[in-house]
Amino acid sequence: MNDFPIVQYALVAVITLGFTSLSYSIFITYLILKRFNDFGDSSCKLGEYAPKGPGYTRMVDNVPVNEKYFLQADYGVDPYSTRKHSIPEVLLKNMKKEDMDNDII
Amino acid sequence: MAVLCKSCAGRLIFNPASQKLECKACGSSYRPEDVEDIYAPKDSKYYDTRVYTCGHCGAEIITSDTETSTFCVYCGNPAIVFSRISREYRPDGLIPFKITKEEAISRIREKFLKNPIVPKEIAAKCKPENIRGIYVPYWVINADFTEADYISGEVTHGKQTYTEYFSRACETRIRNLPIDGSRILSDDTSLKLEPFFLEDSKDFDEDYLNGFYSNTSDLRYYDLREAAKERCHKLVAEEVVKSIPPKANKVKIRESIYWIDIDDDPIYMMMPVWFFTFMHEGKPYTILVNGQTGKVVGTMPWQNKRVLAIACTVFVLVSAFLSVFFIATKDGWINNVGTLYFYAFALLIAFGMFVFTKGITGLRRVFQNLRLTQSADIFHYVKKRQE
Repeated sequence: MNDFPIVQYALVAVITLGFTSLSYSIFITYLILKRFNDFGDSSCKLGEYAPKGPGYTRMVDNVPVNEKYFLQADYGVDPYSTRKHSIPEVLLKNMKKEDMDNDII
Repeated sequence: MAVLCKSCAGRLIFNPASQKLECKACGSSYRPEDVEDIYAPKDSKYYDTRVYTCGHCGAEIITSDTETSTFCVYCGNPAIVFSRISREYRPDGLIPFKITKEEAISRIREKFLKNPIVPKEIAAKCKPENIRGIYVPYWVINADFTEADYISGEVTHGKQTYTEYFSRACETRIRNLPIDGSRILSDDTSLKLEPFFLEDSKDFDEDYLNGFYSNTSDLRYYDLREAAKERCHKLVAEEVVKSIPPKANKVKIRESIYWIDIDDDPIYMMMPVWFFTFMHEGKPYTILVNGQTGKVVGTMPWQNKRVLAIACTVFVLVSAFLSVFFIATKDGWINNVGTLYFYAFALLIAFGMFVFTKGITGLRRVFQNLRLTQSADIFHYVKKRQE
């Protein structure tokens, strides 16, 4: 211990203590701000809107790196593209309104 | 337009506490479904409103004729002028306000204003004149949703850590998902207001709007589709990550492909929200209260001096505490008192590194929420619409 240079020892001490103290002070400040000033994280989960759960069609672990290309091949095309829909009048009106605004500009 | 009292022709205001329309002049009360408005028959596709425009942010605020707008509920600016009478599309339904203005104020006070780091002058601003009830437009959708994810995670075997990959795909049926129908209110903010419980919803009747403001949906079909798609992706991705075996750490979705198909006839709804808007040091702030559940959403400004004082005090205390350990090590006390102190010291340092990341991430989230509360996003959305 006595062979350890005092300057280096002091430097390590200041950096380590400074960083650790800073860490604790940042963390405690965060806890205080979160506890008293910050409210309202969304608590909604998928189960509230999909009672049957996600409905997995593929669930494979430890896949090869090129799996993403297989996913792209299997799911890269919109499966609903052939379905036709009627658009609600309000949304249609907003679409037309925006087109008209763009024309004016 | 608002209906008048059958007894005295006074103006009727909807009271969330009694769920009835009440006449302030003679005290009569009526159920909204029993009052008929001859100017806006219930089978009409439209209803009449008064539109005010904010000269500062450009937002349009819609009221029934019982409420006069005096300042912008979005940015807090008083530069508000009556613009026109407008015929708006009649929504399919609404959830009436259940939380009264007084309850909203007391919830805000309870959450924020007992706190010593919140500036004192804000408590004085939390009064009925600064709180407005707004029916915010939402679309409630049913949809089919498909998602495929390519996921990575770090797995440790013995002393070796390597990256393992996972693949997940799912087809999900989504029911009654509310999507914010206004581009003025940011999606991040509206998401925090949830949940809204549709069991309390009523067929739309403009009598419920008496005494409140309302906003109309300015979304296009494309916007609704994209918002719903992103919302479903967030919900599904959260579940997908949970399906990864617990042996994997630092799980991250690398790539996602997702598609949505919204059923015909999404329901156009009005949801009740209390807006507490105020200016502090030249910046606008908006705290929201869910008008059905009373959930408070927002971030209050704080007194920088007090927060800095707390941070400095913690810094000094921790430094002093650790210094004692450090000096003890240097002077060889450790040999006398055993290695327990050394391990405790090392643990404190290691935990310090862990809380550093936690603290920085958390502070970033608090500041992000503060920016939302400062309604910069609302301002941005409105400006974007005007460009």
